[in-house]
Amino acid sequence: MAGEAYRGALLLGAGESDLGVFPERTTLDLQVQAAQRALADARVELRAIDGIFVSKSGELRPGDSPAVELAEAFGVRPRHVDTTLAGGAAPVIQIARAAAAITAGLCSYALVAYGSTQASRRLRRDEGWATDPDSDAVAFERPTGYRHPISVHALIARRHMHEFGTTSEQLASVALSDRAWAQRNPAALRRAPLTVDAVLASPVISSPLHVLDCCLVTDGAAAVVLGPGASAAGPAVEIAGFAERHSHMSIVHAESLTTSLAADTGSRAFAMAGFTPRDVDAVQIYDAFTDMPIVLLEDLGFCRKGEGGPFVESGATLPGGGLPMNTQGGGLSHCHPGMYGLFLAVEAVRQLRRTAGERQLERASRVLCHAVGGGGFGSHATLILAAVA
Amino acid sequence: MSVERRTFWNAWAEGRLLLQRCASCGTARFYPKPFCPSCGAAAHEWVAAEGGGEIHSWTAVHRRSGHVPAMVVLVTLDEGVRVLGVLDGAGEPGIGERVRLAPRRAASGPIRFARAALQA
Repeated sequence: MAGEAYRGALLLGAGESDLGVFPERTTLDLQVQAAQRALADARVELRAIDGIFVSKSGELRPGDSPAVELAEAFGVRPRHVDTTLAGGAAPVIQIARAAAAITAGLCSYALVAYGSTQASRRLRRDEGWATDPDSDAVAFERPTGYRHPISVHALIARRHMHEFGTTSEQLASVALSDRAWAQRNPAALRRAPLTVDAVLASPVISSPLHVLDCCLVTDGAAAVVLGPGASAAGPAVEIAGFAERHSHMSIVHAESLTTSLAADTGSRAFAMAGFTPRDVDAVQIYDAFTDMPIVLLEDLGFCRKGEGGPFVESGATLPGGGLPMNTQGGGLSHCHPGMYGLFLAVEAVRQLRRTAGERQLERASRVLCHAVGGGGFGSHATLILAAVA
Repeated sequence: MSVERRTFWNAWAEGRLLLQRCASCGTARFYPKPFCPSCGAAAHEWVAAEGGGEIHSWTAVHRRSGHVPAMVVLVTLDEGVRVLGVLDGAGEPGIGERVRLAPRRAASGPIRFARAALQA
């Protein structure tokens, strides 16, 4: 039972651009490539697209209209555009925005795209992207020498260790889980075997996080196509549940470092869907740093509070485990072009449409995606997708 | 620079960390802002933080090998607000450890703390 706001739309297809570092290609090039692949997957004609949803991250400049830019590149004239900004959560939020717009009759076929060339353009500098001297981040936080956003998650990881006894080995097990899945995904950028010792031996960036506790920094783009009904492309996907919640941009305003608003978005999304975490076949959890899935799996109800470390360490999220997680390899091994949210949904669509190749799950009828943004769990989006029978 | 930000830095340059206390609901706030995030009231008084606080979390930030890492601390001041700052002195701190503000009479950040046990 889909939520009223979203029940008039289906996800029809998904695609990714080439992934890696491409000094001779633009963000727009990569978005176009991902969109063309998603349209082909969905068997939807470009001319049918009348809604375009594009977020942006490090490259965003005043005056930018990334959705209109993509419309211009494709030569289409959408009657509905959206450029929601909520950090890495934005593209997942935009899938719900697109479904709501289709349900409301504001557009019929929607393209949700995200891309970045942050790696080849070297946009990911130590001080992060904050440049506005009026912002609290520039005035008060950047002078500490912290590395944004790594240090924010280092603070969260340290606090989680203190409160619940979480270990560096357990954090590393998140990276191992992602790597095990990446080995089954030819598009993933890091596929060599990984060990806990290798993670712990990698240089510390912001303690307790090592280099290998941190996501890749890559170029790349992703896209998802939605429409008002099934296409010729075979199995489609519906939004069974969705919820978002936002609270802060700075970690100093986080009510708790170790319990996030994912507890709220998760319970609301499950209430909309009419089922529970036990009924989910796989999860796609935002994993820019290894602390994130540990906290989020707890808050979403896949294990008890404080037991995220032992849960992942037990192997539950590995191939063959009870809760496959980040089956494309996640931000730690697949790719990470600044905002990973849309890649979570692309993999969920592939699993649900049974186009995931070597890593295709036997049981894949319900997949939960959870994306976050902001300064340490400041924005949350839980999207529960289900295969349409 | 906002009026509130200027008031803050002027006091910081004299060695005081100013918080705003809402005149309507009494909530202390930091960073400097024109209205209360709890009740929305604009009226407030500036109060100097007493200076004590407790480490809520910390991270040693490594930039280049061979360099001494920066010790970045998230501190809960006794007034109840959280502050991101730098901890002076050697060694790793502990969560829950008491710290005190250690102003440098600078015209800008970072906010500095010293370990309470090493003072006095």
